[in-house]
Amino acid sequence: MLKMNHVSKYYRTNLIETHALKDVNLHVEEGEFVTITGPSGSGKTTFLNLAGLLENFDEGEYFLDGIDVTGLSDNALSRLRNEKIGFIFQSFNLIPDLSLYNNVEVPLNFRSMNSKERKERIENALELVGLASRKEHYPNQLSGGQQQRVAIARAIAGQPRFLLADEPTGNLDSVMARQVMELLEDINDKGTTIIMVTHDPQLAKRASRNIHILDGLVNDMREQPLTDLAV
Amino acid sequence: MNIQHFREARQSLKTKRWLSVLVVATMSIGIALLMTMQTTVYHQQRVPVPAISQERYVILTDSRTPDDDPINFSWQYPSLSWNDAQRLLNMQTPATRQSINYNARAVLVADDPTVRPVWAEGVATDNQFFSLFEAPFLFGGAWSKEASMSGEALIILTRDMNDKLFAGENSVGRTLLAEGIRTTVVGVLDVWPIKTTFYDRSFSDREMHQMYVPLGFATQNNLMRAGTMYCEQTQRESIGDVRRDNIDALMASDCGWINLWAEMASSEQAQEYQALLRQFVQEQQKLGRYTRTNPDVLVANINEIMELRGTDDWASTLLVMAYLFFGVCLVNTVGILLAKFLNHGKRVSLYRALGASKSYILKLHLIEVLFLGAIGALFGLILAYFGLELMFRIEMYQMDYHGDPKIVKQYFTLDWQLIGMAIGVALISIIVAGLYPIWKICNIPPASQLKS
Repeated sequence: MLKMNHVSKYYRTNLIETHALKDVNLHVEEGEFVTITGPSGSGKTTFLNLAGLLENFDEGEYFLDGIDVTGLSDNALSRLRNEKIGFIFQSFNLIPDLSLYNNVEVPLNFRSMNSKERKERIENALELVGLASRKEHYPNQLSGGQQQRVAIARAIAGQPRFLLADEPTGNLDSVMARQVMELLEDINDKGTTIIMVTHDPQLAKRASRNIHILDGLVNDMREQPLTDLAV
Repeated sequence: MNIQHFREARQSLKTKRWLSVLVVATMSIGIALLMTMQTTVYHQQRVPVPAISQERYVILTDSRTPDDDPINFSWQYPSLSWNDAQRLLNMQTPATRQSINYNARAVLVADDPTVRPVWAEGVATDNQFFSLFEAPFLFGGAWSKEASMSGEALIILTRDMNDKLFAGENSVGRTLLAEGIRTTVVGVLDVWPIKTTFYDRSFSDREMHQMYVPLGFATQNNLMRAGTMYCEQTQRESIGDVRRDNIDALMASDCGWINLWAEMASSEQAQEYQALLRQFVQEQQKLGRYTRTNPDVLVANINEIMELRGTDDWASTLLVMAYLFFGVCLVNTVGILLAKFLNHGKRVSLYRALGASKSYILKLHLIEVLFLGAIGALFGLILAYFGLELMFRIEMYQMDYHGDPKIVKQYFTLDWQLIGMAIGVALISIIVAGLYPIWKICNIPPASQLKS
């Protein structure tokens, strides 16, 4: 489903070269709920950006849903992002001057789709996150938890194979965080593969698999627990 | 492009609304100033009879004395003397037809006592004049060839003059008094969109002629002359008032007051005519005339005459300044668009993350700048309209309100071609101004601004 072989990413300046990710080998199966943990600056976001085709990698191979993404054009990468991946951000990133309906519609605008199907998808997504009745409201009329639910609706409206979530509960209190987490679990139960970056060990435990990143090195906890690595 | 691009572009216009207003205001002021000046220059440079201008040539010789300054501009050529014009008319030339004219004026009195007498500026000419310049007739037509010199009292009125004297009715066959002489109307000209009286080389933009009379009628009745006349001091003294007195003496003199026009189908024929003209001048020199060394001759068509005439210096200078100012406006527009678009950075970054390609972002912003350019052009044209109205009023004031407002106004009026030009300039300029800001916004990496 998502397969990285010896993927590395460097950031270069005139003076130094920083290894953001080193020799990542990872295989995520369909329907998995994977959490990514690690300290700040360890490379979690870089990993998510590579997985979400938001940045290019420097070495290795990456197959997304069986497609080798190496050397794909900007248009092809954009289409893959749009059709295969849903993004959920820590700061929601809803557009303040669009209604909830129009916010959820955004990724659907980038593909051709008839208006009936588009409407159905938007309404179903909002229904799923429990905000169908507020579709004409604007983001600033909602609580943080509700805004994140709209962001989830936006991510799933395109019916992606993957959801990539970058600390989706980071800006929420514990009650709202739990609600969002339950929503993600529901979505995962319906077959969508989820990769979620989190700082919260409790949330990480709820996932089917945890990957820890430290200094750009990826450690799959299923194969090698962190304690072993530390030893 | 699809409807979504337009929806998004409209939405984008509303964000940072004041920057959109600033772009429109900058473009509007630039376009307004540019179009105000462009309009006046455009009308000055506009060729009066474009369909035939290539084939209608004015024939000129430099008959001035050796003491006169050399000729630098075509307008410095004197007109032909009556006798030279007659000689050239009677010569075998490459021209398919020729016509002569001079400016005449007369008081016209209609039989209707409620119509006040009118002081009419006009042209004394032959019957060829109307077909040579394709003057459009509303009623009637030109007089016969014989009537050109027979002295028959005939007149052709312009539509405006016919409206004044005969309330716009078909006046062909009716009579009026021209300088006290009972004169028959043979034709009424329709609106003739020439904007300037090119055929007498005055290029007047204040008043158009209101009547046309046969040469024979004008000369035999000594109708007053008008326009530029070149006469040596001794000849001028012997004639008296060249515009009012003793036309026989004027016709016999070497004074230049007759405009000769020829129709020729090609520039080769024009060159042939020019060679003939040089030969003619040389022959006249042997007779003691044309006292300058190698007198200049000119055979120039209407296009060349308009080109040689050029544009008013002040108008050209202001036009250059208007272009420079427009350039400054465009530079400002680049800055404002950059500020506006980079303000969209977060949204564009999100769009890219959610699957928008660079070409989608490009189209979105291209439509937005085109919207801004179109609105700028619209407001610019409205401002230009008021600018031209102001310039028209200043022009009328400068000429002490002597000009015909209807004629002068033509030089300060936007036509469809100018409106199209304004829209074209605005759209092309704003695309040029928008290139860098659009390039910058298109290259915002996906998700680069979504962390905070």
